[in-house]
Amino acid sequence: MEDFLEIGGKKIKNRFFTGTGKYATNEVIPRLAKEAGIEVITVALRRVDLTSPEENILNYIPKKCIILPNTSGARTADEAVRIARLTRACGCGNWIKIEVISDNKYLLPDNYETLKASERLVKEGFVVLPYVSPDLMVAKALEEVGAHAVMPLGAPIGTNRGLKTKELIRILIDEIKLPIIVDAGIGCPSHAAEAMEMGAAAVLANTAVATARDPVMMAKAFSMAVEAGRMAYLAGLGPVKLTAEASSPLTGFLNEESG
Amino acid sequence: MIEVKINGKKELFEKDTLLIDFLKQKGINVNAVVVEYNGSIVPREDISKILLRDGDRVEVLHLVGGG
Repeated sequence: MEDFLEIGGKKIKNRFFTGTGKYATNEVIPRLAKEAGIEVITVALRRVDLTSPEENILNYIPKKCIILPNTSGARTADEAVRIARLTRACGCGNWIKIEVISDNKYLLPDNYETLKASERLVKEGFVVLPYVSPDLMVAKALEEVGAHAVMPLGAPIGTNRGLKTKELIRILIDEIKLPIIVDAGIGCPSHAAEAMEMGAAAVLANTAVATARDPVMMAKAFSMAVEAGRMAYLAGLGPVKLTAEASSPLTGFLNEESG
Repeated sequence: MIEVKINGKKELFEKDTLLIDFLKQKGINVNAVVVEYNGSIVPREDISKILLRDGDRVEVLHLVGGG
């Protein structure tokens, strides 16, 4: 069976998305993208260091990847819209991960400003993937304004703590028709599989891969876990029970006497 | 001399300096950056036409690694 995730007219086979942040050298990025079959990859927009211009990150991303720039650094909807327009002018497509953050300790997204930015950017023709705290009402509003997905956090960015918001994400999956892409806090492949098993459409993890001893192998492990979790979701998980239910027949035991 | 803010930093230029000459002198590949000139995005083909004026604000940005 062909199973694709469709966003903004693109068909995506690999539901593990990753990022390009936190790497000491960019050389590892094309290797992990290739080995793990990455199809969607994030980048950020920053000022050029005029004293020592760096290399172009796009040179390290395979051409077939969908580039998903984020609006990191934005603290308001206006700033997110400005960054989104600038990333589009870089000529790498019209996808945008809206990230509006003014909380420096936990880096929790500002759902209200994110919603405002989403509404405006949808109208400007962007494929809009907003990063939010998992709140049903905001997710419904994002659906209303035409966002293309909802990206709830599993735990604060870069913490590798896993699916701490699981019950709230479960509600989004149940109630929202848009793809729910779990982003942030996913620390290991089992977290990613857990999200996929309950019906997440995709998982995005950057830190867990970038801070692994072997990022190429870790990216591959994440892709496999996401694929396994997706397959388990499609297969339909068996019921959970409190008491035992034997897996083997309860008749024909060797110690049975019948008279 | 004129004073222009580029990426938040004050720079002094001779009158009638082209932005592109400054960027080239800094070793910047114009095809890999996006320029915002006084709040407006400059189409790449128009970057070479920008003549710096006193009080201009210029942002020279590019994509970097991010999550």
